[in-house]
Amino acid sequence: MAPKRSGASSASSAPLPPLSIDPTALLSDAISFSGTYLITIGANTVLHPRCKLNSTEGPIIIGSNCIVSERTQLIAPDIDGLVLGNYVHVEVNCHIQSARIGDATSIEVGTRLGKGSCIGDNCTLSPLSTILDVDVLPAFTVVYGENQRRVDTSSTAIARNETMLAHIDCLKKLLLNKSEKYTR
Amino acid sequence: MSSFPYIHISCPCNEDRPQTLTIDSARPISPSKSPSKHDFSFPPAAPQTPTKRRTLLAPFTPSVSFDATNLDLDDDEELTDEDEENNFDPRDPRSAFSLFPIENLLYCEDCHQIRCPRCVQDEIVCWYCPSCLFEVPSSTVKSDGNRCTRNCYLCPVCTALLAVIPVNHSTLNPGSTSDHPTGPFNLFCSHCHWTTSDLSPPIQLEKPTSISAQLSKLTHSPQDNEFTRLKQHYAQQLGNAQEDFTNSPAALTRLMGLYTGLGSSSGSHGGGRKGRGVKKLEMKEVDRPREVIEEREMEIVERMAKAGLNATTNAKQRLSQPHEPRFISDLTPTAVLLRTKRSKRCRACRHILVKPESKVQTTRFRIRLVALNYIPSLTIKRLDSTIAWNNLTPHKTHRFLLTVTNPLFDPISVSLLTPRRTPGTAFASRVTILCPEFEVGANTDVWDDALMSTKPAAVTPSGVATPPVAGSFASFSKDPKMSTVYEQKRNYTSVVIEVVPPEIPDTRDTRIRDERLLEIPIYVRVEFEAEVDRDDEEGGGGRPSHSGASGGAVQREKVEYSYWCVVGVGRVGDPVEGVVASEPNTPVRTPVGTPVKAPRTPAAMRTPLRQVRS
Repeated sequence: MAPKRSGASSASSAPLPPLSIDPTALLSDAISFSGTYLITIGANTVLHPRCKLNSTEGPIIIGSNCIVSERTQLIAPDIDGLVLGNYVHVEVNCHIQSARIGDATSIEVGTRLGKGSCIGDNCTLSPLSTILDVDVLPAFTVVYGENQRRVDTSSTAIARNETMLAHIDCLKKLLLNKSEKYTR
Repeated sequence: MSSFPYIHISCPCNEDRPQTLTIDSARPISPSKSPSKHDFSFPPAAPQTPTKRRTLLAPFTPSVSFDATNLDLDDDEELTDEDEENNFDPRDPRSAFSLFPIENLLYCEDCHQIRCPRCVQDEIVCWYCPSCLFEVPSSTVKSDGNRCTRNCYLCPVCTALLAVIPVNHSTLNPGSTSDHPTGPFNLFCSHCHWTTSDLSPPIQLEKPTSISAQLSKLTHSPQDNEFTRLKQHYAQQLGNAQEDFTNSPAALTRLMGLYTGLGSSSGSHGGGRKGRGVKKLEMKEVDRPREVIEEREMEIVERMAKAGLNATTNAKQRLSQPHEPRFISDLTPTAVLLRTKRSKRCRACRHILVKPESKVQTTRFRIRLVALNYIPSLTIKRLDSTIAWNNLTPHKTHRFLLTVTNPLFDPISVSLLTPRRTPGTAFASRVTILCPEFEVGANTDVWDDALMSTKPAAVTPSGVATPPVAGSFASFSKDPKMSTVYEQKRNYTSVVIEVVPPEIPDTRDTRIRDERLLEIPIYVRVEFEAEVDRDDEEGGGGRPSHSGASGGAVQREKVEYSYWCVVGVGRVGDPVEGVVASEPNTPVRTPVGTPVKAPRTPAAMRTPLRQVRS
């Protein structure tokens, strides 16, 4: 895995993995794709520059209306791949090896998700939280503080999806779309 | 103290009580020592000071044990006695209170002394809320308490700031992301998503503003609850004893004796009261251990069994709330604690050392006399990057670079003096400063140095030009040991310090004190010539106005001050094979006059900062 990833860091030279990118998705410059399995990116999804997607071990599927931020690594854990639902917000500097991340989940700065972990819908992971390997997080779980957990009963999920759409609209105005660079 | 190296400076309050510290009282007058010429240049100190100092110092004087080998090396043995008495022991419990990093120290311009946090007095300039940055008048603080009375509330679960959000934002009418959200409103924690709807019963606010007023209506304020509780309790107690407090002359005496005679003695005295025909009075205090009502307790246990351990509060959450809730659903939002801006005064002369701008939004200071701007600061680096701070090799010569930086606008002469062996421990390390006396250039403008770099005169210390005044510095510039200065730049000079630690058993498990910790006390003495402000001198307490210089426009004066500092070099590690103890282990270099013992002038010894007239 190591030699392949080092090759992928010089993005243009290495062969790209098979990509299936929705035409409405926004892909910035200098995204590092590596691996051999299919990477699917859904509608209206924004990928910031310098995020890294590694499909060496399995496919990666990103749903619609997602944001993946800079310096975040999405690594497929196994042949079953990594599936991100819709409205997933992945913040800066995360290290994600989950099997599944549910809809409308917000993953904040510097979070580490262990290999094969499973995150439910509408979860919130506060900055620098850690999820162990093969851990399952039920829906509406908030991980806060020193990896303490509580159940979110605030019923703000729909409101957060709205702000997410507004966030994506704003990013589409700010970021340059370089998706044709990857679809060539 | 875990990260090495560190340098802590000893505040003079280590030697005296801060209240009695004045510039004169800081000067030791000890009859056992012959007065030096410096002593005569001072008026006698306040009469009570010397005795006080002696009594204070006598039991606490740290002692250093010099072994025989050390005595042999000494030039004159009569001085060793003095050294023992005067060495600063960083391990002395008394000195531990006065050691601070230089960043924490202030400097009093009137006392000419370092002031540590222990010898300044805080005065509150203003109270403000750290969240909304509104100033709260101190009268309001007295009446309404020390919490923000506006809209600032903290999440009781995770202590993040709460935001106001409409309850029915998008669940009922998702289309209207309107400009005027209509109530009811919730307090919402954006970090852990706690809302006031999680409470039982849920709290919902009608308006997004004036939250404190709304919350106080919905939840009784803890102070009010406490007051009603106390009132109820004592009214009940009083009701039991109502018949005793009739309008009789005995009532008052009984009332007075109510609290004094109660407690354990009430039983024994009860008989006497009965003898006077009055019923025994049982007055329960509120502070008694709380009575447990079995029914309520069973309720709580049942609720716990249902909701599980995750629904209960932890100790921190329980203690932070006045009503000590057992369940998370009983936690209420806590108002933000107010902060203060403080000015600091010297305890000795009452002059202000720090005064922040009274406006809350600005972070500037009107007065800020930090020690960093007045006394030369020391830093230590390793010369050899293979030295591990946490694992010094016994019997090996470790070389460090000691840098003295001058913040003043006059060039200074610095003497660094250290005991040959670190005091206060049975396992003394040998310490040698290769060039203990040197000059540090003035803290001039960086551009001055750059522009005048062609002139050699600007680079050489200007102390050469002035006529030698103090005897010890007479032949200073010609001294060959100036050449051993490692590095000399604009306003800093670096010298090499050599440390040879011995083998020390690891005592961390058996004793409180870590014997392997290597701390080197260094006595820093600074001399420089400063321009004298005449007005300042008159105000300075009637010192003799003798001046060596002719009556020119600019009067210059020799100023000397000194302080002890402690260099935490590191921890001594386990012995390494091949590096063995041998007495002449250190490269033999004993330049003439290398002070391997504490200063010779007794007057300078215990004088942290003072001025010397030439």
